[in-house]
Amino acid sequence: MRKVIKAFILTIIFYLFQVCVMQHLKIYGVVGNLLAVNIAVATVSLGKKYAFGASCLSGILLEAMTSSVGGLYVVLYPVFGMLFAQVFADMSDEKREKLLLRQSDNGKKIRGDMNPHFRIPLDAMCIAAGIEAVCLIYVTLSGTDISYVLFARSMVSVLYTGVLALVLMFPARAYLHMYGGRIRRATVEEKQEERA
Amino acid sequence: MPRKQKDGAAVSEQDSLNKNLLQEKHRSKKSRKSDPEAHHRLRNVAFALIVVLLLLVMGFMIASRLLPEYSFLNIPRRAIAWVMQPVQSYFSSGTGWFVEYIQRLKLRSNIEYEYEQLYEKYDALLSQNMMVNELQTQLNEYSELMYEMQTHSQFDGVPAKVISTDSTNYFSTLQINIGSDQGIQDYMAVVKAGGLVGYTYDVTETTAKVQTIINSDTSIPALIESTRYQGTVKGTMGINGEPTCRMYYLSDNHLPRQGDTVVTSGVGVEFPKGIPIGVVRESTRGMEEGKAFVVIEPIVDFERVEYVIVYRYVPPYTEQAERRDETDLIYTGLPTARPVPTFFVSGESVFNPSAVETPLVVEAAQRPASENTPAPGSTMGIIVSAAETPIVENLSYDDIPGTPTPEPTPSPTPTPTPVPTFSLNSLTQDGED
Repeated sequence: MRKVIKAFILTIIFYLFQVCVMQHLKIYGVVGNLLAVNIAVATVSLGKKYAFGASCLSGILLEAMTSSVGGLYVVLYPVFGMLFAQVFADMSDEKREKLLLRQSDNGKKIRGDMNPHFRIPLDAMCIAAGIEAVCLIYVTLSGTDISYVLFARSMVSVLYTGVLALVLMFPARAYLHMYGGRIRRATVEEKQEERA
Repeated sequence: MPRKQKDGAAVSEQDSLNKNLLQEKHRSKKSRKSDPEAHHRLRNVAFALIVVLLLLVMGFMIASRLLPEYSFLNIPRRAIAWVMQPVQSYFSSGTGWFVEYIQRLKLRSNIEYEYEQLYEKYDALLSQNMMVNELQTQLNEYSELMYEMQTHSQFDGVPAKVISTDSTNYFSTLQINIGSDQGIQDYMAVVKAGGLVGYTYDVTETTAKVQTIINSDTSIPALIESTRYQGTVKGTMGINGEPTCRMYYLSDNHLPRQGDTVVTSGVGVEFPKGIPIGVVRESTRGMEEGKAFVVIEPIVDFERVEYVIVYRYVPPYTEQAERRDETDLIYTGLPTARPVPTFFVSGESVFNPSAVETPLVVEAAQRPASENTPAPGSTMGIIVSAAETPIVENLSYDDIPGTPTPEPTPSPTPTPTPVPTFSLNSLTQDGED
């Protein structure tokens, strides 16, 4: 349950930074997508369920607080979060066992999960790219002429999101105790018990 | 000892209690871990509840967009907004304060940078301005020199810069940056802005010294420009420390007027004739005991001599000899300042006609006075403004050539009809008073 609360707090923090801080950190007038970073961190670090929760919560918060297009964010974030979670989340134990069996049968070395530090930026960039693509389509359907500038802005936004993910995944993962915090605490408790 | 034993027993009891407590804790943890399925089930239920809740909220939100007439569909949105609004506003204000602080710091650093840039520009402009002023001064000096050289091109002038002054001798000698390489020889005239500075001496290949006219060692033949009386001009630096000159050896019966220009006579030295030396400032020669000179104010300001012209003109010897009797001038100097007589009626100035062109004065002077016949040579009814010196017999200010000198009245004659404009008697008495 502690993990759920931490994921919830992390999502709230990312949301607050997205709506309050990122407007001051524009690059060429383009804002990065911190919520995509949060979803990516949750996906890679905690799994698909947490990714779904984080993406739903992000969409709900955006929809409730800053929505300009009705129901867009509340659909987009969970959809793209879960879509790319299928690609970037850790594989399940069953799938891993199947892969190991296939490896032992064929003798071929099959790759496991990619390093999470690569997956998080990629996942964040993919989510941001998906949302940008939908937004571009929406804008085009609304009657705006699509132009090179719009594509460039989208590209800058995706790259900016990737950079943000590269920077922020370390503190976020540290907050989620992905860097041995649990192990260290367990060993300390064991030592205390032994002493007792 | 018994007390110690008691303490030791108490400690051992406490330890045993602690151990029991820890064991109980350990057992409870183990029991919790021993039933992982129940725990897993509980987690799944919780997750399911959360997912359902999220989906419900999402569904309500989408439905509220699709069915805006049902207001109850907006309840989740309002609830979330009600919770998040204060949090977001506090966070936003904190972020705004932080951003403002950062921007202020940035602005301050920008202002400091701008200030430094402006200060550098100010320094550069200041030095540039000083340079411009210096160049302007040089340009003015060169313009004057050029004008002087063009006006008197027959003297073969060459400009020179004063590179040092003899400060121990009150600027009585200068050093210039040209010498024999430029054709400079000893005793050549050095002028500035239409006035004589001095003459060269101790000439080397690249430098020359200038003996100024205010130096007491200097002796230059000169003459009064208007009357052509000749004398010798000497400096007074070594006598009274003033940067003036004195003119000696004038004719005994002649006294130059104040403001008369003194120019070089060209006799005895290799100077062109007619270079202005100065103007008569004080002309009381013979009126005071032992005063055999006329004080001359030099035209040149010797404290501001930076550039000079050296006249390389050397007259032939025969020409120098001939000059002794010549009166025509080669040098075209500044216009001579002439004295201006002033009429006074009852102590007030009436008009200031020139001494030459006043017919009334001549007329008045030719009329015999009934009383108090004026002394010969003095003009009736005319008080020269600067002539406040005591009257000495057989000595009078020089008249300008062409002006008729009134003859003294031989004997008293009947008083003529008074001129209606003013009374000669009162004027004469005022003048004598």
